[in-house]
Amino acid sequence: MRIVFTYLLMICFAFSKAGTMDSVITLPEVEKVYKYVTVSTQSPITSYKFIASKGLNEVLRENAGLYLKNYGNGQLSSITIRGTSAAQTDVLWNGIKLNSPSLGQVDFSLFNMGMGDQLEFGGISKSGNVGGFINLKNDTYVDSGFFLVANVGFGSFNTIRTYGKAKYGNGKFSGITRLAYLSSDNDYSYRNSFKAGYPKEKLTNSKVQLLSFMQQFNAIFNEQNTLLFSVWMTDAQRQLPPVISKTNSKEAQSDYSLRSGLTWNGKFRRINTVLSSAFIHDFIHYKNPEIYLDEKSTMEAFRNNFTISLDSIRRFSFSAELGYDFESAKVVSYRTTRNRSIGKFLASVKYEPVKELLVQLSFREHIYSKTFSPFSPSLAVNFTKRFSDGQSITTHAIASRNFRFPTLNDLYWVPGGNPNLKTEKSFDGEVGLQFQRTRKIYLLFKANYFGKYIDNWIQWTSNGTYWEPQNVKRVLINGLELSARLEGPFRFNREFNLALNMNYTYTRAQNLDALSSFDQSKGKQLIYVPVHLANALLHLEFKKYYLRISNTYTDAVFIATDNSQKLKGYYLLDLEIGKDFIFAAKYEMGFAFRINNVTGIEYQNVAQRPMPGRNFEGTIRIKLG
Amino acid sequence: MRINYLFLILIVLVASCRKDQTASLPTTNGVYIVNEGNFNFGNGEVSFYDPNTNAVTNNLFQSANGFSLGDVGQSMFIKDTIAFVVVNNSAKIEVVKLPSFQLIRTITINGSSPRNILPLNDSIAYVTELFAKKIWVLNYLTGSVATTITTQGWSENLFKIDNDVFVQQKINSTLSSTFATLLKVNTTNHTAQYNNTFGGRDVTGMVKDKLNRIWIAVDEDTANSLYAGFYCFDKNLVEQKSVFYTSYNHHPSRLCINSNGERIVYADKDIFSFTIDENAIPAIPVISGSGKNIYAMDIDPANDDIYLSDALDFVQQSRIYRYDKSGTLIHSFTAGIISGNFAFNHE
Repeated sequence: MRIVFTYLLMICFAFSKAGTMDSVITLPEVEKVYKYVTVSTQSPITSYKFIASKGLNEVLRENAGLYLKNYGNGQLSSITIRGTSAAQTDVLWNGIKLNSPSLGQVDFSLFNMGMGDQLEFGGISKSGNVGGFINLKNDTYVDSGFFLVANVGFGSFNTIRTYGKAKYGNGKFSGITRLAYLSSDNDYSYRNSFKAGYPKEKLTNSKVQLLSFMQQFNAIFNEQNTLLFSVWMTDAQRQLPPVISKTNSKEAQSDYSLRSGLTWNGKFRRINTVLSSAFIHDFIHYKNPEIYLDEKSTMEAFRNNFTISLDSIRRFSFSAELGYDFESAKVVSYRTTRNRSIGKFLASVKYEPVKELLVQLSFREHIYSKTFSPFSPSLAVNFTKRFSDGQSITTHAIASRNFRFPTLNDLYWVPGGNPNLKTEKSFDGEVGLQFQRTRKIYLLFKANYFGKYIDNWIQWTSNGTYWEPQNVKRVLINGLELSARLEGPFRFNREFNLALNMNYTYTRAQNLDALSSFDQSKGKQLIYVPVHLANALLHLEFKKYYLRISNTYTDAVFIATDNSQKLKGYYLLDLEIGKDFIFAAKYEMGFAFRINNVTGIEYQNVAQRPMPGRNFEGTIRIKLG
Repeated sequence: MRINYLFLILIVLVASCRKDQTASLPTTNGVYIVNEGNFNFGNGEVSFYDPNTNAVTNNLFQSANGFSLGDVGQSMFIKDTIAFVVVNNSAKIEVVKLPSFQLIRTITINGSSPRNILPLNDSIAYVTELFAKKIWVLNYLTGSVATTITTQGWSENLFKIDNDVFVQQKINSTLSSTFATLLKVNTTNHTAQYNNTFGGRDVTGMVKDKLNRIWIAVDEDTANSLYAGFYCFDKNLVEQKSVFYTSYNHHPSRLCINSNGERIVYADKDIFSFTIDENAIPAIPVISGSGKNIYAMDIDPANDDIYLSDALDFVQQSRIYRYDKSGTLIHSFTAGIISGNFAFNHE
C-alpha cells in the first residue's frame, strides 16, 4: 500500500507541476525516487552508477528510447520528441528553461547525466512550447553525513571519462558537489562513400573536451522554509570534424556556460509558494580559419518565477504562476545586441470529486514586446482504479493548446531575420492507459496515443538571394508510445536477478501544405523523424556480477521532404559486464567493461556524420558513505 | 506468487531499404543539370535531360562511378569530350568523360570552396572561389594549383574575351564594408584589375553580348539609396550604358543571354527579357514566376529554349521547366535537389 500511495503522490506531483499528468514520464535514477516505483533497494535499470558519467543524449537513447540527432561522438546532439524540432522542445533544469535565446535549442552532448538526479520528459511542453520537454532535476540532500561516488573510465579513441559527486550536510544545511570530465580524440574509422572503393579512413579534427562542475547548497530553515542555490559551469572545447565528403577541416568551437539558480520554497498552512530566479550565460566561440571566420556570441537569460498554490478546499486546489524572463544576445550577425522581455502567467485549478478521479484545468498567457501568445488552455483528466492485490489501472486524457515565439535568430539575423514572423501554435491531444503491479515483482505497462497539430511552423527558406525564416507550413503529428518495465527480484538460484525495460514509439509526422502543384512534400514524413523507434535494456545479475544488454533500433529517416532520399535505419547492441565489491556497509568498489556497438555496424545518425564502430570502455567505481 | 520461469524478450527489427535503380547513361546531346543537394548532406548529383525524347536520367555520377559525387554540386563546364564538375563543399573538381561520365581524375584544392571553372587552354583553368579571396589557377592535367590570383572576396561567374578573363566578384552581405566589383584578369601574367562602380550593390549576374561587351545585373542598395539595374561595359571596363529601376523591391538576377548575344533574359520574381539595344527596364514578363522558387536559369544555345529550375522548398527534388524563346512552356520534369546549374552539350 505504501508503494501505491507514494506512486500516487508522484502522479499528483506531475499534475501540479506540468499540467500534463501522465505525459510526464519519470526516469527514476536514484536512491530516493526509485524506491517509489520498485520493490528492490536500487533500480538496476537506471541506477546512478550506470548512467551518472554518461552524456544526457546517451541516457535518453538507451534508457528512454528517445531520438537524438548526433553529429558524431561528442558533437552537436539535438532532440526530437514526437516529431517536433529541437527548438520546439523545452530543456529545463529544475524547471528553468535552458534553451538558447538565439538558437532556441540546446546541445545535449554538453550535458552530463550526473549533473542531475532525476530526468523527466514528456511530449507536451511544461512552460510554453509546441513540442515536448526534458527536465533535469536536482534532489535536495536532507540527511546528515558524508557520501561520495566517483567513476573513472578509459576507452577507445583515447577516451577518458570521469565523474564525481559528494554530498555532505548536518540535516539543516547541506551541499552537493559534482564534477565531470570527458576527453576523447574521437579518431575512429569509417568508410568513405565519396571515394572509389569506399576506403576506410579515420575521422580528423574531432577532439573533444568537456568539463562540468555543479555546486548546490540547501538550507532547511524549518518545516516551512527551504532554500536551494545551485551554480553549474560547463566548458567545452571541440574540434568540428569535416563531413566525410570533405578532405579536412580546421573548424573548432568553444562553449562556455554559467547557470545559477536560487529557489525558495515556503509553506503557510494550506498555501505553498515557490520563488525562483536564475541567470544563464552562454558563450560560443566559433573559429574556421579556412573561411576567415572567428565569431563570438554571447547569450544571456534572466528567468524569474513565482508560484502560489492553495490545497484542498472542498476537493479543489488552485495555483497561479507569474514569470518574467529577460533574454539578451550579442551575435555578430545581428550587428547589435538584441534583447527582449517575456511576461508569463499561468492559472490552474484541480478538482478531485472522488478519490479515483482528478481533473485539472489550466490557462496560460505569455507576452513579449506587444505580442501576446495565443490563449492557451489545458484540460487533463486522470482516473485511477486501485486493486487490493497491489495492482492499479490508470487512464488519462489531455487536450491543450500551446505556442512558441520566434527565436532571436529568427527575428534579427542579418540577412534574413524576419521581425514579422508569427507565433507557432499547436493543439495537443493525448490519451493513455497504464497498468502497474507492485507486489513481489514490479511490472509496468504504458500506452499513449498522441496527436499534435502545429500551425505557422517556422522554417528557413531561400528567397533566391539569402535564407530567411517564414511561417511556411502546417504539420500534423500522431503516434503511439508503448513502454513496459519488469523488475525482480527473481531468486531461482541464490542471487539471480533480472530487470527489463522496453520502449517503442511510432511517429507519423506529416506536412499538410504544398508550395505549388509540383511540391511533393505534402503528406510526407518530416525529415529526421523516424517512424519506428524501439529499445530494450536487459539487466541480469548473479551475486555481485551483472550483465547489461542494450538494444536500440532506429528506423530510417528521410533527408528530403519529398521522401526521395533517406538514411538507412540501424540496430545497435551494447554490452556491459561488471562486478561490485562491498568491503563494508559504507564502502563499495566496482569494475565494469563495456562494448559499444558490438556488431560494429556502420551507421550515420546525421547525413555525412559517421558514428563510431565497435569500441570499448572500462570503468572503476567507488562509493563511500 | 512463486515465479518459476524466466523469459527474455529480444527485439529483432530489420531495416529494409529499396535498392536504387541503376540509371542508363545518356549517349546523346542534351542538357546536364547540376544539383547542389543540401549543404552538408552530401547529396549533390548531376542529371541529364534529352530535349528530343524528354528522357531524364538522374544520379549520373553515382551510376557511372559507384560512389557519391559530394557535397554541394556547384557547376559544370564542358570542354570537348570532358566535363569539369565543381563540388563546392567537397573542395574538389571531378573531371569526367562524356558521355559516359566516368571519372578521369579528382582535383582536390585544399582550403578551397570552388564555384566555377573556366579552362583557358588545354592545361590551365581558372577556378573562382567563395571564401579564400583568390582565384585558383589550375593545371587540370596534373591536378595541381599552378598559382593563385588575389581577389577581394567571393568570385563567381567568369568568361573570356580575347586574352582577358572577366570575373563577377560579389559582395559579402554580412560585411557592409566590402563592395561588389568586376574583375579583369590578364591571362598572360595572371594579374587582376577591377572597377568599383556599384556602390554597396551586389553583382547578381554577368553575361557578354555579341559585341563582346559585359552586362552586369546589380541588386538594390537601400542603405545608400541605390536602385537595382544593369550596367554595360566594354572590354576595357569603360561603361557603355546603364539602366535602372525607379523603385525599390527589385532583385534582378540569373542573367543569361541568347545564342546570338542579342537578347538578355533575367529573373526578378518573374522572367523578363530585353535586347541589348533597348534603354529601358521591361515591364511585361515573358514567363510568370508565380508559384515558383526560381533558383537557376540558362538558355540552350542550340535553340534558345529557356531552362528554369524551381527549388520548391529546397529540401526536395527540383522541378525543371523548359520554355521556348517566346516563353511558352514546352515541358517540365523532376531533377535532383536544388538544381543550380545547366550545362549544354551540342557537339
